[in-house]
Amino acid sequence: MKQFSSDVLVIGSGPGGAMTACTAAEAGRDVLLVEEGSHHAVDSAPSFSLAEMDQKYRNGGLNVTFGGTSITYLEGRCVGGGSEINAALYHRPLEKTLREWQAQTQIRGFEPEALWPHFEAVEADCNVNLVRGGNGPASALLRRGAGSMGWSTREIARFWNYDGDAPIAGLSRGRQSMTVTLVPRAVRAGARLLPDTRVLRLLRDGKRVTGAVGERTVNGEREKVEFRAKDVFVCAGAVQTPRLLRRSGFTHNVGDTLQLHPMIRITARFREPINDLGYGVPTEQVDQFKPELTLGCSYSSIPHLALWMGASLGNKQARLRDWRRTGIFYVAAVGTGVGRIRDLPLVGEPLIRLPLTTADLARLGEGLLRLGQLLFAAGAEELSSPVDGAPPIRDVAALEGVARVLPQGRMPVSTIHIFSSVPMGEDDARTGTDSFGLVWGCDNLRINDASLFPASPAVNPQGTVLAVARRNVMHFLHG
Amino acid sequence: MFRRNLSPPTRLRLRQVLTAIAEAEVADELGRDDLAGVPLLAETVVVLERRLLGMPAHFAAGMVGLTLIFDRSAVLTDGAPYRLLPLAKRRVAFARLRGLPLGPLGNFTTFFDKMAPFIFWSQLEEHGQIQTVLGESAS
Repeated sequence: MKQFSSDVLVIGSGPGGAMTACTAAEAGRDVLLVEEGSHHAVDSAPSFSLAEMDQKYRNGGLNVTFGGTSITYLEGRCVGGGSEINAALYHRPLEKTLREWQAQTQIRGFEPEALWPHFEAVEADCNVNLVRGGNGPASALLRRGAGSMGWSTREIARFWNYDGDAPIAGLSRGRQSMTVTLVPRAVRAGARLLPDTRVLRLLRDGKRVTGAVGERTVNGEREKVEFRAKDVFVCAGAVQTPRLLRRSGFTHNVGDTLQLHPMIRITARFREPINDLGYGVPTEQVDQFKPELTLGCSYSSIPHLALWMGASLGNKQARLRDWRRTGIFYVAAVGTGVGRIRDLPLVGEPLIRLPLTTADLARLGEGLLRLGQLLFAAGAEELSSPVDGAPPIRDVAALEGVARVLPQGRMPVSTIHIFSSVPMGEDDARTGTDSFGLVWGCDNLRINDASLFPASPAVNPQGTVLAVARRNVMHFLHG
Repeated sequence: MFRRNLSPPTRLRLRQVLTAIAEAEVADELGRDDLAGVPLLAETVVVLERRLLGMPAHFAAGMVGLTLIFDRSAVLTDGAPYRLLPLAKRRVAFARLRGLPLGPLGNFTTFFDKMAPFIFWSQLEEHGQIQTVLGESAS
């Protein structure tokens, strides 16, 4: 059995783990950063392509929850985790959200004014920028439609370096993911990175974790590995973190409160060209209905248009010929359902039971109505329906009919925003860790990822994961 | 990986049924019953199978079971296993399935309705053949 020892063992190299490893290594700690997936260059495959799904997504992107409606959720499984595969959008959460979190689970030292410096550091460290010279025709269309309705929109910054580059179509050049920013910084500061290594169980001795056991794949062969460490951070994401904790005997408020942002998508065809892949992910969002609802536009290549047009649209070939006049638009909601994560016996896979509630369906329906109104106001000729088998929508009256009662179980719902599976705070009846991620009942085991969020951040969570992780690891280092 | 547990005959049968379903899905995409000259169909089936077997084991097992049951059920409705039906009949048979109140089994049709077109157009894109299929006006 191969053995490794370190001062600090960090499990998971997504935003939370990369920030933890980088900050600890730069403070002079001996850090080992372990990642289940492989190490790929940021531009090893075109963004959102099948090749990228094979390389960087867990199970090729096909993970689903159980409930009245199955929700497909995406997880990165590679060095850099979710930062390698998401839209790289950056938000600060609303001050109101942070104060609600603080009150909800009694988090110490979580005043917004104490957190903003961490967000500022993230924005500098990870190259958060706006698109130079306008953000493309789909974004302009969203602005125009929202303007017609009297609604506000905002350009969302991205983890992206535009220096010397126009925005690049579907490629990853410019993406400031963890493999470009914090992971190499951690390695330069002396951290050791161990990809292709899955941690199976934490080793526990009374109130301390002494290390972990796992397996590593080298040249296609698996070997057992053992880790010894003074301090352990689990940063494997809101699904894998509670699974590892539960397998290791830590169960108090672990994996019982998972939440997510359910999302539905439609396609819309216009009279004029609106789809320019050169801009990648359109960065304009309608923020009139935040925090409950976000409306926006997705990357709209021909394969993705085919995916979201649905099976019921006839003559799809002709519709795809019009790809320049067609885009994919989304409604993302703050979900109200709370789910449980458990490992299936024998199979070794997670079983997530999470209901898409009646309130969620009503909220998504309201979002669909608003989005459709905006798109028609902006000149849309036709919308696809989010409901399987339903005909296309050609006017607001038909839109109202679809949006009024979205059906349970007959509509593809997906998410890449998952959180709150081990919430933090001083209220130990509701939390799995203290205010800085230290697991209750253990002196040296910490969590530092989206699992810690007491509730939805109501925005893309990556910026908040990074800022909260920075806060927590600095508390660990400096008190 | 679930694929390691499939016997070679089951794997072969699965590939045949997936081919039959993928062809029906592509025919729906293109709105025609003749797929002569349509490129990258075999590659589409290979990737579709990889996707299906790459799902979490419990989902993959369920999907393989449903796929094979669906193939056999066509004997009752259409007089022959699904994989042996002519393409036009396969399109009708799969469309019929979409219309049934399947509840959680609706994931079965959704998987193929979403993944088969996505994989097919992705293959065309990757190999620079989208315009061959869509025509020059798509440029």
